[in-house]
Amino acid sequence: MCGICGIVNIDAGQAPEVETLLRMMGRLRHRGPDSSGYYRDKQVALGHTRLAIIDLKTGAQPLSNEDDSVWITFNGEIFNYLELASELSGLGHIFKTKSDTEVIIHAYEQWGKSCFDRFNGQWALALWDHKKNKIILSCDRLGIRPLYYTICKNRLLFASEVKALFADSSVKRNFDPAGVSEIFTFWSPVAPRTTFKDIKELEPGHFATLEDDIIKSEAFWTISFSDAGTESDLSEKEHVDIFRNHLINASKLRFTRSDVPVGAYLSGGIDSAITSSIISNYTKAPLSTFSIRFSDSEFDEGQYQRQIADRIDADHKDVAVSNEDIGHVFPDVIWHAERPILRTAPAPLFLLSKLVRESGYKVVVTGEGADEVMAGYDIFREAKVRLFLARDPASKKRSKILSKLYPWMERAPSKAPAFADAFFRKRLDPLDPAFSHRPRWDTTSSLNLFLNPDFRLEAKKTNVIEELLSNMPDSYDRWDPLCKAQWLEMVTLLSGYILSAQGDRMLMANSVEGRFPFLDCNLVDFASQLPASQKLLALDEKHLLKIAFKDMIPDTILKRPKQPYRAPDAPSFFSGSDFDWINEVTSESRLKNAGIFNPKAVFNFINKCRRIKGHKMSNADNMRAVAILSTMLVHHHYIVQDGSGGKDQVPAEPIKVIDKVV
Amino acid sequence: MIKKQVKEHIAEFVRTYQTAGNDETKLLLVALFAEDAFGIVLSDDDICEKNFGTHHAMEKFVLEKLYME
Repeated sequence: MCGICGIVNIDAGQAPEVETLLRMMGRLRHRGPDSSGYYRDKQVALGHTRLAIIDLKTGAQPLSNEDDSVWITFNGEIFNYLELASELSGLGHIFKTKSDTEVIIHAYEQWGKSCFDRFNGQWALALWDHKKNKIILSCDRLGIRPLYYTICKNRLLFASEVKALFADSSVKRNFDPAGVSEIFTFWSPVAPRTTFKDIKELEPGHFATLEDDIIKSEAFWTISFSDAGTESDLSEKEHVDIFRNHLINASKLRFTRSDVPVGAYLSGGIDSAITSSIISNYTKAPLSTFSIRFSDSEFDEGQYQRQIADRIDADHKDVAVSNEDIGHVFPDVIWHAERPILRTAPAPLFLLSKLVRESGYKVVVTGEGADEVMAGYDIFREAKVRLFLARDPASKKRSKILSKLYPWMERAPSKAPAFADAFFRKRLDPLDPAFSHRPRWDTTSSLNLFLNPDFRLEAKKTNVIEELLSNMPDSYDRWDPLCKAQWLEMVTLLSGYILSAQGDRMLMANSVEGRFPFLDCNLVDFASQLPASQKLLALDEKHLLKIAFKDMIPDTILKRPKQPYRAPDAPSFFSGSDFDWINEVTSESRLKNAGIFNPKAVFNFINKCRRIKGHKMSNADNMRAVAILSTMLVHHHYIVQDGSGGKDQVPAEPIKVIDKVV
Repeated sequence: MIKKQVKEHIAEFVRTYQTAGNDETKLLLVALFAEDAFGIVLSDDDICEKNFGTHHAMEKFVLEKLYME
């Protein structure tokens, strides 16, 4: 895992500046603290900051092919690189390293842009094809690795993180109201849009080329499901066996393809319990596992984490996180996340990756992706229950099933049935293509009420929901309702929040790489062909996964009610210390200057939070508190300040330099 | 869906949830499952222990409903 960046001149002119490139690389030092390097010619500069994981001796980047006509800067892992290297060697390609990076170059030479179809991995990369005078950017299928770009002063700039683009002071730093509107609806921006105006993110499963002065992106893979009724007709037992093999292979690949030790996260739930159990079979030494504990028992899953760790004889460590810890690290978390967030959940993960790094590890396997791929989230259960209500709206009995939803919530439907009935019966139109997500989007959109009228007017110029729905695949209407909900979840929350704000950024903040077996391309493709009822049987989430691995997981874990990963929200900011940063970013002058929120509305709301110390607040109010504070922190870090976080750094040494200009 | 598949499907549901007996919320869960899995539509009167309280009752009711529809 690494950081990448680059500058491409659109027209012939002065060669890209080394100083700018080095500043960009410096801002990515946390992604690659082991070494760095750059390549430069008259037209292109490619930068790289390295977290050395595979081929520690000769894997430094940028790398080239045999005749130096193709150069690459690459962030990520191609897990099937050994198989591809063997195939490419057979086709006459000569390798000078043992890295997965070089496999990409030869694969590109051999297969052109269709090489991306062959990669099983997680990547963001840039290839410079000198002979064809082409720059090619590419990002993995689900957006595990990020890649941002902008066109500025007749140059294309690209980087793993936006802060590196802002290292060039000529790049304008402004909020994109439509990007904020997406976050205040879907919880995340939807690529190519970002929080910042004129800064784009390469969409998952795409590659892009520069045509004149326009970036043209093209999909090499999209999320797709079988039409309802045409799913795989193998027996459930056969599906179980195939799925089990896929997950075992995916976990093994991600554990063994590394030249440094690999650890694992244990959340206390079944997903990471399964992946940890699988990989513990491939090491003679105890597997190192890492967990978050919460001082607030409502969120703590320590007893379950310990059960799994004991069962697999893991060398287990955890980090205890208090409300105050979250409030304390939150400004750093937002500097890394580079976007407003609506929950504090990334903050404990920031502290967890710190523990991993301090324990001598820089790679972890986690259970991320299982809830999307195998339908584990509450929103899928909710949609099924709402469809049940919609089939007979006049029924006097059906509402009682709402008590099965969100049992972990303080204000669970079972405790307020009348409210739940009214809430979940809204927008009960089964023909609505976004049926599953309307309640969430409606609740989240209430954040827009806090916006400054001018900003809100700008934001409303883009109907973000219509825009998202207009990008649905042609076959969408023919999918099972569960698959539709999975698609919506994967194109919004998975890539824009789970894998980035909560995933890549919180891991890379402390120079740790995450690997996600549930997002293996073979597993995802297989799971998308499964009958919906094998993923969510009635309201039993991840049904097939539980059957497939019931021999590996204790019943206490397998049968415990699903508890989503959550962290204390408003209490983290208002129940203990008076944080100076809150006073600063919510001051009247700062709010007025930012022009994002209505200062009076924010003032009143923050006072309310302080008065009740953030306790006993509704789900929506908790979300409002986090959204307002994180948005104002993004404004502080990236609009008021220059994005450096006050700590511009130089790239790590040694620096590999290939400069064709000097 | 052939009869054997219907029976297998119901058996899998029962393995996961056991039977509902006279538990009102569990009966609703069975009804949700039956509508979702077999495309049948149930009235409030259909959702009762007699039709969904036991494994045998579920099989009998669903097959009759499918045959009738």
